[in-house]
Amino acid sequence: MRNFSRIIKESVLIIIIASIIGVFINIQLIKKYINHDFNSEFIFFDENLPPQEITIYEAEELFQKGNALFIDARSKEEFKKGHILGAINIPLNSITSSEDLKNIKLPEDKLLITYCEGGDCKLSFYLAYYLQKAGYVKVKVLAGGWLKWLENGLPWNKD
Amino acid sequence: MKIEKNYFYHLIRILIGAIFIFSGITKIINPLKFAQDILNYQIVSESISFWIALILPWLELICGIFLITGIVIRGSSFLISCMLFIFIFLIFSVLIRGEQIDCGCFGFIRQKVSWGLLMQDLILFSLSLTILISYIKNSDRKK
Repeated sequence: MRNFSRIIKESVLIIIIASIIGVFINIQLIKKYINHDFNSEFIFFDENLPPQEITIYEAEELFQKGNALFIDARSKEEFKKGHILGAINIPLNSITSSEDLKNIKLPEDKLLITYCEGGDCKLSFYLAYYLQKAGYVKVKVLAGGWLKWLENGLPWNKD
Repeated sequence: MKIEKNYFYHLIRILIGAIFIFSGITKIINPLKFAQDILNYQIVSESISFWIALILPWLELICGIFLITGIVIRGSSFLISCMLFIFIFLIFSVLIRGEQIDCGCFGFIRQKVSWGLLMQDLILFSLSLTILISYIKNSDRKK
């Protein structure tokens, strides 16, 4: 019993020390976080590199002409359930930096259009950001994402 | 055998302490990367990931230092065991879901979540429990 109470006391002490140091050292980061300076899940977007959105109508036109490659940023499971016809899947949860994209060869002559579920989903923005960081210039984000695509009755398929 | 003369006990204490010091430092260097790694597990929200990323690396570092120096062995080995238990649970949940993500174990060192990693953490978990139990038994004997 005495050992148990000492374990708890010592653990609490260590947690308090770690919390104080962690907060103190990262105070600037905390200020930024409170001020909502993060545009995404902890990625600072370069001011020169904000991924641009593309409307569903523009996307449809490019799709019909075959001038765009759609990239699904959702998970493998979601992709399998249904995706834009001809789209490829690069799940954002498998990427933590633009380095991860170096092994994937994407066409540079086509516009790369990233998308995720829709609504408030941000995955497509992060993926677009990583693609830009990896050197791809023609990258856009599909506004409204997958749900908007379905809503407009555009072609899709399952894997 | 008295714990003071048990070289195996000291060896694993220093080994686990060193691993946690290293792990803590690699995460302290880039807390945002670690926050993103936590978020990739899809278990906790963005704000929770952020706060964990600020504090957990320091917890690892301090526990590692305490374990090596032998200052607060009960608390540090208990916390390390708890952390490893949580890591094992997280890794297992990712493996069950069949996802391939970066484990975020050592900051900038890339390592994917795998069954091998799960095994590695299970070994570390059993070793850290061994330290805790040995230390408690030894202190009981002294009384």
